[in-house]
Amino acid sequence: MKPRTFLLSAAALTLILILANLAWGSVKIPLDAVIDICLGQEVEKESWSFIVVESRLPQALTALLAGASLAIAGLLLQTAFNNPLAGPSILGVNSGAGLGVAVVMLLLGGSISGNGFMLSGTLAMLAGAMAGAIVVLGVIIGFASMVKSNLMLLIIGIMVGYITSSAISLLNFFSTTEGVFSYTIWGLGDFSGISTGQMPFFATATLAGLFGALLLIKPLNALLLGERYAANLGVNVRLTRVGLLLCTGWLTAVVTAYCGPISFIGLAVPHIARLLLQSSDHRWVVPATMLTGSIVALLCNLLCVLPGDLGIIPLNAVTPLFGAPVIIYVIVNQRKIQYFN
Amino acid sequence: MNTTAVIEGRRVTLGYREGKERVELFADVDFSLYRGELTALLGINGAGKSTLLRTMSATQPCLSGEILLGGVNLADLSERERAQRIGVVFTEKHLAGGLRVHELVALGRYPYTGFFGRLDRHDRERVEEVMVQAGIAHKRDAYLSQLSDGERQKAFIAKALAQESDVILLDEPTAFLDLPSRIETLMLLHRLAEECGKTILLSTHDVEQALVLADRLWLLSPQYGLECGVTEDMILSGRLDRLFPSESIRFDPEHGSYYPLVRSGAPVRLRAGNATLLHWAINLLNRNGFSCLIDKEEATSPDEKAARKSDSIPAISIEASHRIVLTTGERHRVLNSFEALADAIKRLKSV
Repeated sequence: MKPRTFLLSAAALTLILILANLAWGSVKIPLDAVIDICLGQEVEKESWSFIVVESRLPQALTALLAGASLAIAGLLLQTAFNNPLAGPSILGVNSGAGLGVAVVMLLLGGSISGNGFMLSGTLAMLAGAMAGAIVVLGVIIGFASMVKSNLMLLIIGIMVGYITSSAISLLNFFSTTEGVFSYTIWGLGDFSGISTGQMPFFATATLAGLFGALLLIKPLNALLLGERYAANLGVNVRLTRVGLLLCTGWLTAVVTAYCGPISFIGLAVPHIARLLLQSSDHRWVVPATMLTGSIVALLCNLLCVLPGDLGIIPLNAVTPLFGAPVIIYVIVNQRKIQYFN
Repeated sequence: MNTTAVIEGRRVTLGYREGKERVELFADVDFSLYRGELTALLGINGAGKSTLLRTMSATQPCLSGEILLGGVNLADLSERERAQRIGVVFTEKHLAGGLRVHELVALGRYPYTGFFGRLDRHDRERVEEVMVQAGIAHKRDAYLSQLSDGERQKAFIAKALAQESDVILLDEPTAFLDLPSRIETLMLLHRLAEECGKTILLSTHDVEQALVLADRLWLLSPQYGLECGVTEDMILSGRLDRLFPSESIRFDPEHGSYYPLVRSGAPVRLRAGNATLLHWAINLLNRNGFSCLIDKEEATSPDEKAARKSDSIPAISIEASHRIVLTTGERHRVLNSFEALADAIKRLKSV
């Protein structure tokens, strides 16, 4: 597909999906009413306007930003580790962030306080998630210098994920029932946790991370050739690596703190983008991955609210349904896929 | 030929650090590369060829000493300046199979482009030019994963050309290639040195082709360190013979190739119609455990004179490959092929 065609149609699809997310839910709201609400006009029922503006719009925006963030985190990890099967969930970055959140929620009772400062609520969770994500990334980088095989590194990532999961289970065992309950709900993942009041911070944080990824486009292309070629082309490899990992850690941590540990979007979406573009050039792959991540997240959110009155399906029950087949397809067809060879 | 050194090493100590330990491969070596010359770096695996190339391209620091690039210390150049002066071709695993050839070559413009790596018209023209120079223009839209090994090497050489660097360093560019691609790659590098004035250093195991095309040789061996010189000087001073530590590997200065030393015992007298026949007859006889006494007009050593007198030594006379006369004692046998000769001497040996 031509890059421009792809980006334009992806942008159009994103808009359509946002509208669908606004219209769909336990309360049926006609599409023309949704459009009227978006344009700031009065509609026949005031409650509709409230539902769309206060509940569905933040949720759609969260999906839009979280999807793009996780997908970009996956793409950056795949290029940084020279491994198309890397991703925040498979390398344990998600569960590291999850452990950080668990420590804050279960061990510290939801707030971090030191001499003179105090973080509470979501901000404390965010700090915990960031610390957890960065620690796991640090551990993985440490192992990457020891283990040369990409496959073995992935398995180490999975093992690190297991270790953090059992740490989380132990924390659960020793904590209060309410703590366990709220942590379990958080662990199911959903895009509805961000209120209109929290949206400006969440949007700023994710957009900053996404902007950071745009700044890394040129060195990312050089890194496709491996570190030595990149260094020879004039890339400051160490600085780029630090930038890549901070960017990945930040995006994963922000999304995980607010929406729970969401799997597969980071792993699968970069593949969809590269396969459809038939290119590895990051100047196209980066924006395409962002848009595709948003589309997939909006689509998953739509599936979550599909039962209507019966309730909401947990997000983490939906993302593997689309993500795992993509990865299996990629592995089965790897001989035919250019960027694998 | 302009003989100013483009890149010069002064008392360079090569090696690497493992934790706190310093592993020295070679201490205090001096070297120079000259404009418009192709230099071949030869040595066994593990001798330190790759370390030397990585040190020269500044992807790995040297333990001591300095490497000067046009008089300026390599370590004092910015990354961008260095990238504009030294291009490399390594054998390294990469994720670039999804890049098209022209996209790879365009990455060579990296040190010249702006923040997002956009190519201007001059950049795009250079990319097209160097693809033609490297003979890969016909594959400009192919993915790297679709290329043969030889074509991929040309694409990476084109990338190095796009960097417009004076110096190009290549780490075993002919490894994994089939014979025609090896020769083609070396011819391409020779042409780039000669016609475009590039300064090229490549490590290789293809000694025979390197001796034909390289202006200078750098020999790297654990015992003698780094020895540099013009190809012919190096051959004629016998330095190639001691490059490999094994006793059973010999360098043939006449043909410019290495050959395995086979244990030859029983003597046989040999006369041949021309040099080619002589060469291959010796080859066959040595392989089968005979040492040859070449019949010339005059015997040179007393041993040979003594041997010639003795009739107990079999004699072989070759006029053409289908006319070979084998004399043992009083008996003459005419053989019509080297196959028949091989059979006959095998039977001789078992007697």
